[in-house]
Amino acid sequence: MAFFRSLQDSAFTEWFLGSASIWTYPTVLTLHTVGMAILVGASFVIHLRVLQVARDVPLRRLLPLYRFIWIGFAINLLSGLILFVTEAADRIADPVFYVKMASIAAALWLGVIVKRRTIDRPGAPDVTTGLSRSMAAASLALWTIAIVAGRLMAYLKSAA
Amino acid sequence: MKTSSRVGLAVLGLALASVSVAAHHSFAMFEMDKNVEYQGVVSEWKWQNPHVHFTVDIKPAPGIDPQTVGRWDVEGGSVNIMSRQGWTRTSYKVGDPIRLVGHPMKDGSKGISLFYSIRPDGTRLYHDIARPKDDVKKTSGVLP
Repeated sequence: MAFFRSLQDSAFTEWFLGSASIWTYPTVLTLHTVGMAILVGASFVIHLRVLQVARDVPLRRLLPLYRFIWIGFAINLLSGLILFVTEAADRIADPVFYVKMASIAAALWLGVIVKRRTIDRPGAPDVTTGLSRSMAAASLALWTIAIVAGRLMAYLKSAA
Repeated sequence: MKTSSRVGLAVLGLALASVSVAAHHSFAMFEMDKNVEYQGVVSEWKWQNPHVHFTVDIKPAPGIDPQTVGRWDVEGGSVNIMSRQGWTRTSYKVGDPIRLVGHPMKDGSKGISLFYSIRPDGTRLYHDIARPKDDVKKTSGVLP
């Protein structure tokens, strides 16, 4: 706890949150949104296809989209770490933060399993199984929960 | 197709739920057409993104509206927006007397959306560019 408090009270945090430049806090927060759009956007496209939306598209054709999932994830891991440091002590005690992190971990994990079951398998049929569809639907729900939790963290922040 | 419609509905519902939460943090929770003057002492000063916050302690005194007595949480804009109005990290510090005009919370809790502060020389420091048109000459900040 003392460690997280020291992060939140660090000179870096003071500089970063108190800077009047648009290239500090506003840019990192915006990058976090753009990264989310890339990451969750690609996930939605893939999992909607697994749910048989646009079923004319062969599943293998989705493969290049995974690169965007990891690009978006990298952007958000980096920007998220910076944002976390600036309020580390508050977040580590915030249950909504854990809901967000757990949803992201579970959504990514489901995404990997869905990929193995549907897209990686050589000669996999283009019609997905019920189990794959359920996991794809769960992944979409988890991404949505992660986004709502992320928003709630800003609005339920204990002011002052 | 059935499954995807259900997923779509669930996503839409959650998205709408998040919109109403966002609205909660807009200016909707403040009575934006009500301007109240507060006069007290700065008791906490947070020059921070995403919103500058400070608290003002108001004690009962002659000329002080008894309804304004107490500790108030004042919310400003982002550091960038307020800097462009002429605010700096050192505009006020803890212990400084402050006179400000703001919009109180609708629910009566002790929160204020900052409109402007009045400096000892009578000039005003605005929260952002929202201000009456005839008021421009009174500001000390940099104008867009």
